[in-house]
Amino acid sequence: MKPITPSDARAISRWRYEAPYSIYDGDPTSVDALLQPRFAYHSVYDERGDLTGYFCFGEDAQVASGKRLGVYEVEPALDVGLGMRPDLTGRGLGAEFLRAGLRFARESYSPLAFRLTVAAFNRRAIRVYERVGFETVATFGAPTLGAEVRWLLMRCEA
Amino acid sequence: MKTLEISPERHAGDLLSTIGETLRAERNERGLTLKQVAEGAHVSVSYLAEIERGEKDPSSRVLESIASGLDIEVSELLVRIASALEPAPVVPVTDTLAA
Repeated sequence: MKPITPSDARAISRWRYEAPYSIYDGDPTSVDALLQPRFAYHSVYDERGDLTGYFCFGEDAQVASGKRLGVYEVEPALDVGLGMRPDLTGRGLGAEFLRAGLRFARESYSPLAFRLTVAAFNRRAIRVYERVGFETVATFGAPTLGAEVRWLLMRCEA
Repeated sequence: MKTLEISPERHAGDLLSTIGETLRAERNERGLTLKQVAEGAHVSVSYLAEIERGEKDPSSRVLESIASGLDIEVSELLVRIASALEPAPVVPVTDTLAA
């Protein structure tokens, strides 16, 4: 795991996920944000040196409606965002992937706690987060979008 | 009274590009990334980027979602799009000279 490179960012921006996860598809326009040091994007590689996914730490792992509701101000915690290469998803590899990222973040940032914001429809991701020890501490939604669009705020002791 | 007509020519597709430009401006003004807004809107980064470039036509439902991703009222967003669409005002020359 190491800071993201421009070629990794370009590769990630081209990843395409199967429905219903296609809302996580990237775009070349987002490469600049992936390379901004303040978002702390990191690439994850396998033993062969192939890119398997990424983590980001801090603000880019938050959503705007959560910010307005103040859900990120309840306690100081490190927000974690992550994504695996599409062909590696759905194969039971998520928990190991997440644990590796948390290990790295613990050593690099010494946070008090980890926090994740996840779309409520994404049961597959939520199961992984729960297996690693995350618990749902809040749910919130965007009032205009109706009940089906909600997020879970999950937390785990560092 | 002589008036100076300043109204830029409009082309087909202007509404779409104005919507896209307005969305990008609002996002940048809030210091939000594509990922943050897309995630909050439940749309993909690729789709949002295409809308911002004026390449995709967002439905009213999608505009509502993006407003939510930007954490802005959809009515407010439509007002911003409308004001970006307004042709430049006609400036009466006499008033300008008097000022």
